[in-house]
Amino acid sequence: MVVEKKRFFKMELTPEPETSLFVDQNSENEEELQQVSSGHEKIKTQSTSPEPITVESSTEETVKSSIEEVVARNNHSRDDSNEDTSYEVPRSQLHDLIMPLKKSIPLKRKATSFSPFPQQGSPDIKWTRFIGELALQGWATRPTARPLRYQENLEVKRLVPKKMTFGRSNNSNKAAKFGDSAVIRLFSTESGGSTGREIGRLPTDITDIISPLIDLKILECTANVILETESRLSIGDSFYLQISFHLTSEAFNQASQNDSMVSLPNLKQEMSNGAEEVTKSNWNYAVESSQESALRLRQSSLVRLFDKLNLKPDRKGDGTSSEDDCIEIDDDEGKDESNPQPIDQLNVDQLKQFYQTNQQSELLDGLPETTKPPSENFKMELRPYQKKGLSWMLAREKELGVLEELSSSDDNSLPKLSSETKQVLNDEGMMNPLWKTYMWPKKTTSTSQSEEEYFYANMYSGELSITKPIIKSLVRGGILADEMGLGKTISTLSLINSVPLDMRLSFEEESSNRYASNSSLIVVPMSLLSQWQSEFEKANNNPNHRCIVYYGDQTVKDLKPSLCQHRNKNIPIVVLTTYGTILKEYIKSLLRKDSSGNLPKTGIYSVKFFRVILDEGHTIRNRSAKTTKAIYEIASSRKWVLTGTPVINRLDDLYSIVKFLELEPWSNFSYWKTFVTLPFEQKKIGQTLDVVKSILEPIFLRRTKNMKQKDGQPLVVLPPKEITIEEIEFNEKEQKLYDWFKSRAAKTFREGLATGELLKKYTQILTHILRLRQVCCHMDLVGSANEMKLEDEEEMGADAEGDAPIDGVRMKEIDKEIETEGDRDTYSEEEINVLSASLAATLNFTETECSICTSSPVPVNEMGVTGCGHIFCINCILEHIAFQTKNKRPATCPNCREPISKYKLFKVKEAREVKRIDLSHSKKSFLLYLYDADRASSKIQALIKHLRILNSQHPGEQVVVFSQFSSYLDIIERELNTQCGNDLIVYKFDGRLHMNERKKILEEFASNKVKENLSSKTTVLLLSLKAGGVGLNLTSASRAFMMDPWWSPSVEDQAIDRIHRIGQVDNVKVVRFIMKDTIEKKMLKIQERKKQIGEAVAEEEDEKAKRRIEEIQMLFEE
Amino acid sequence: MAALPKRIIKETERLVSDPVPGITAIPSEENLRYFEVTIEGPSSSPYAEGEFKLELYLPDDYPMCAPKVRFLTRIYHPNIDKLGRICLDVLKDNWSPALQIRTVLLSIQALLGAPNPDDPLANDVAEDWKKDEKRAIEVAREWTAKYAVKS
Repeated sequence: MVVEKKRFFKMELTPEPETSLFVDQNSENEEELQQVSSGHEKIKTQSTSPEPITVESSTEETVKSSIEEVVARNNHSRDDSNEDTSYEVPRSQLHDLIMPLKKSIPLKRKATSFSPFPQQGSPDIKWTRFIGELALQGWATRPTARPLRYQENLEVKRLVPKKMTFGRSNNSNKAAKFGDSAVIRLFSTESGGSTGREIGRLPTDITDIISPLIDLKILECTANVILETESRLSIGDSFYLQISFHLTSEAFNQASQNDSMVSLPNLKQEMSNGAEEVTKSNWNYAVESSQESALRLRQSSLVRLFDKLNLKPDRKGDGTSSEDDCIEIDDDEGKDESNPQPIDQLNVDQLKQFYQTNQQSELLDGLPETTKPPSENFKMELRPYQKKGLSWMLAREKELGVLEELSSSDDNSLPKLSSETKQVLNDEGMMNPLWKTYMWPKKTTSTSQSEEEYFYANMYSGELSITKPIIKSLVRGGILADEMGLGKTISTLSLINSVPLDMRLSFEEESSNRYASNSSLIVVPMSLLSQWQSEFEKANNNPNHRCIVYYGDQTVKDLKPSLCQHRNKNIPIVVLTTYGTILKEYIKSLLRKDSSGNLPKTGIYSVKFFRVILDEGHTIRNRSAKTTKAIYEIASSRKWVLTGTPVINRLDDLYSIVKFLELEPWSNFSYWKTFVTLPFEQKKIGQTLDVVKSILEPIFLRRTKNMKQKDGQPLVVLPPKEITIEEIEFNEKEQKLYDWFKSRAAKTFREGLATGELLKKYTQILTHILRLRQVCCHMDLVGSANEMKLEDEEEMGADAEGDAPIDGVRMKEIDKEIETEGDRDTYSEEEINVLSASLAATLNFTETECSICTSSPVPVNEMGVTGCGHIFCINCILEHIAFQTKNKRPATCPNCREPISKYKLFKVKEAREVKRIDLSHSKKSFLLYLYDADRASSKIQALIKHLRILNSQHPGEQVVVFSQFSSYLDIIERELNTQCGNDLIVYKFDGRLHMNERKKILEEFASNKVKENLSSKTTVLLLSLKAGGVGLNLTSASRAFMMDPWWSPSVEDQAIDRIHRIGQVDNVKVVRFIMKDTIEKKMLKIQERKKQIGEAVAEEEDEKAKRRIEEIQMLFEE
Repeated sequence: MAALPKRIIKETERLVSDPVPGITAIPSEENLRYFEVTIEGPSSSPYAEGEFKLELYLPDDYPMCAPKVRFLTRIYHPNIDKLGRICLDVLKDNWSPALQIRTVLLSIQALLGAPNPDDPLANDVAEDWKKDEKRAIEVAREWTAKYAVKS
């Protein structure tokens, strides 16, 4: 040792005359360089030694000599200060650089430019081991006196430029950073210990790679000349040599912990606290510290070195294909060191690569789609993707036995769990997948290597380890983030029913009397409590399985008696509670924390659950919110998070969930911050998202409804939908009114066409069109006092320039105009009075039966009374009359065959007669009035007919009725209530409703399905096309009626999609009512046309106008 | 198939729970609008002691239009032809939705007791009937014994 050092000093004392030669091509400025022996204090192993590892402890002597050396140098540098050849000792800084990596060693810094060098002289055993060799071409940097001999040993030395500073250069961006300059020179090793003489240098690429490693003292090199040079060398002459590389024990020291990456942020913390040089009050994470830079350089150098040496991960070791796992080397990276890339970017790529070949994602494909929960527990049928999801969940819980059993239940031909998948799943002590196994290479020249050994390297961090890095505990659980409507609840219940209790109770747990090993706790928002409960009951098939609600009054101080009686068969396997309940208990127990800060074991915290499931898991997205903290305190063996929207605002929303799941190492916030928060703040959004995706991939399952299954089938196959167009004929009066309006419209149109001013009359024509459409719906719409309210703005202003608005008075005039054309067979006013009075007096209105439909009694408001005094349902008798008329037969009373007419029917109104004295004797009295057959809208009657049939065949069905006219919805509502109020429950939802009302109506409508199943009422939701056409989920209904056509087909499709969407289990039937031979029919044609040419988004105004004229022409052409 | 209106269900139920004496009507399992019907001949008629099989079908428009009824058992009757078709006003123009399966079958039973050769469907039978009523009744009785044996 000492001898070697003296040699150094000698050399240093005779500065080289040709300093410029020192300048490597790679260094940009002509810095003065200083040579440093980076490894001289260590004991070098003879690389050729058959015993690969030589060990010697560092001694006090080395310490002392090092100090001497440093002092000597310092003195020397003072002497030579004028010559600008002063030497610095970069080692101290270099060492500081390394030191933080070793956790065991406290940082020690002094204001002096150096620290006692071998301060770290820990009792660590030092050794080096061969990892490979390279044949290279070197260049002479000095003329040599004689040719190089074959096998001549050369020394590989690292020269460091003087101006290179470490650590303390933080305030200067220009300061050279660690590894900026890479100068390595070869020195001759004259036998007899004489001074080595510089001979030459190595190729730049190699120098770049190994110099940081040598600086960090994790690599040592020896060189042999492999081809004797022909003559002595001149500057620039090349020669061939072989370099052997050895990793030092130092390299492995740093990997003493499994994942020192975790320590990275801590390290920074330490640095900022301890080191005066680097102390900056506002330590900025975003700025790459020299330490981080050093780590990065170490990593990239190692990767490149391994690549040069063709050192590949051992296949046996980890079972993954090594080819794909090789980290790509960015060739530019090394040359571009003056402009270092930020650390996160590099690591993003690494992580991405890592997770792309992630075992877990491959795993998902290998999971069976046949997994079914045991039928004695679970009685619902899962869809294929839900079965796969169950497989995944079971795999995540490491329930491989169960998975295998459940997946291979009946059909043996189906692919089972492959053995490889099983192996992957089974491997409890899985190696940290970031690490790869490498075999120590044998030295080619040596044959005596016998022992095969492996070492482990994390090529993403540059860490090395002798021991196998095992991931301590993988979380049992995960995030199920299927899109809304794919059945997260069912999936979860299927998991619970597959593995209702902890079957692998450890002795410790069994003896612990506070482990609720049979109970899964499900935390849900309050509004979903009852839904979960009913879903549980729906799915549960095991009488011993119960679900209890832990909420409000049902909370107890100690859950142990009810949950921890392991022998009790009737233990609730599901405990439902709300976030609010837990928060309340948490706040309460916070007050009663014991001295060491532990919460008292009360309430929800009194036991450890088998499983905790958070529904709508994004509830805990704020990690500092009390609710979140309250959730963190719940003890359980397995943890699940259900959410359709894992990220609400920020990526950090996910952190809370990751922390809840205890997903190492990401649950460490500083780690998360480094890899997610900060890059995201730096707007590296794409990359950050990739990182997050990578983090989540193994524990995260999300399916969307658009996904396709393996066989190309969509994930969710919606039940078939059947759309029928029902053409309805006008009644006489409607027809007359329609014709009247139509002739006027056609006149306007022809005029416009003739004068070429069609577009000028556009609004007028629109008004006409509107009238025609109104007549198709209901005549009352035309004359209604508040005029038609179209929700389509385009048509809203139509009246402004068109005809004078048609009010009630005008309507009556029109009525008269068309009335004159023909007289109806009806009663005179007098006849009406006489008949109605006598019928009202004689008929029994309480015990009635409609002889046509056999309904009994006939509801009073549905009665239709003939002149001959027989009572039917008004619709039955109308149908009978219509049927007879259609078959050209005289309509007669079914009961007495008296001739009847629809204009000679009476409706009945109940009128409570006010009795003056005797209230108990109060008798209902009835008023008869003539039925106005023509007032009724044919369309509404058609709708009612459908509803009646539906009501008689599928009682309790839910129906959605769409119209674009909210005033039409009003009329429909009125008609439905008066004509069949007893059979229907009618809701109306349109744009006039307040937000809260809307919600309430929809909830009531949806919940009626359950309630009204028992009664026979049909629930009808009248829905305005514009207000309820999008977004709503009305899958509880499977039938819809479209009362009027819309111009664009997509709007109607959208509306139909309200009921034809995920969650719909029944066949969807849609009926579109269209009036025969009217404008509505033509609107269908226009729809068809629009479907063909597509509804161009950004049309020119001219184009639009042109198209409109075409459309109007379509409307009026016969 | 059009859905089954409430009325049909009601009628069917009542036919089972409250059967008409001498008449059975059982709906087919495949089609609830199709009934297998038996009618006993009225005691005072040549069809007495006979049990006649009929089929009855309720069209989609029922009860707006009449059910379709046909004899399956051969019968010698001026208003019933070889194919079993029945000439009965309530099954044609005189149908009223107030009538029901039960009333229709009763009408048919009554028709057996009161043949109307003046409004014939089976012309040959009607002529026989008019020429020699006794002989015709005898043939009717023979046919009944031959074809309409109670099972």
